[in-house]
Amino acid sequence: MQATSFSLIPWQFLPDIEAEQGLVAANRELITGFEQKIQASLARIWGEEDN
Amino acid sequence: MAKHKKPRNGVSDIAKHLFVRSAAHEAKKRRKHICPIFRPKSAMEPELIGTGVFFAVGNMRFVLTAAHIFGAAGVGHQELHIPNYRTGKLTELLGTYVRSKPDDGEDKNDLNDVGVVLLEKSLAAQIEDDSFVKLSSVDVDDTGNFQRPYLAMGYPWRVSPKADRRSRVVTALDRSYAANLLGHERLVKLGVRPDTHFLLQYAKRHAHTEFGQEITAPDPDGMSGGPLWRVEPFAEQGQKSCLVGIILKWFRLQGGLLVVRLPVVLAAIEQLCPDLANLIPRTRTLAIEVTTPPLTP
Repeated sequence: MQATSFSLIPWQFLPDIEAEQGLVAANRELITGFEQKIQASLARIWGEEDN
Repeated sequence: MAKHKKPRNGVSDIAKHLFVRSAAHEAKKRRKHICPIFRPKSAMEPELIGTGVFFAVGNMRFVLTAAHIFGAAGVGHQELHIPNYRTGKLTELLGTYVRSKPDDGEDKNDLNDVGVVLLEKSLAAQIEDDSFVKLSSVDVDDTGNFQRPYLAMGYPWRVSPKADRRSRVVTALDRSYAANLLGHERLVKLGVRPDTHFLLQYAKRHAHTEFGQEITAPDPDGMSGGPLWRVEPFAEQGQKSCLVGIILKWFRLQGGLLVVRLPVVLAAIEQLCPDLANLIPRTRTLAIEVTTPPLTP
């Protein structure tokens, strides 16, 4: 049986971790912002009912 | 609507009908295994450049294609995209790549043309597991059966609509083409060995649709990297078709599609993932030696 031979060139395209970490940080900031808004809304609603 | 010719009852007509029916049945079943491959053109406009085959060995997930889809060897590698399985939005084809190295550095002279992407886990998880061809559906000992139909699948450029640049959603159209293999002497003329490659007849004119209507088939450019299946004539009754190779190139003058046999591709996978060696089937028909330099990011 005659052998066939060849060589390979390897390389990688992997996720850009820094970009993804940036996205996660931005989303965390959004969560904090929305949490504050929700708290403010709840305080307003409950406050109005108390009055 | 085109009128269909009334079939004659000759044996050849029945054989042709069986040939077409089994190939059409197989094509419908196997569409889930292929994906179009795009590269960003100017201003991020995606351009369809070829076809990939989802493939699984053990718990590793791959896209098989032709090396020339990756771009010129030694010049640098281009970013490639595939449509997201559910949304159709383009997603970067992330992972570890290997391609065969042309002996003289010229891509056009690389007739092994093997291209494999070991998919990054998060990308593989987005693709339905059923879409990956399993080793139980491959035949590494098929050296070409001239009596059987073989089925080529892929995304010809000519019939694919352009992608929506704004939303980056693509709707590429796949095509399937069934034919017999051409003789070994034609492969020898092309400078490839009959034990490493197939040449599938591609007669653009006088092709037929599933319903027997004569048509001119589109230029198959864009089908590079697509799968070649050996079709079993009684697939509807449980006989199983097998993946036997990857389409590389259209030789217009010779009227054929050059296909590299699957054992050559599997040898590249084994070189990329030595841990899978015990799972990868060995062919009795061919000895293959593959070498790889260390991985460069």
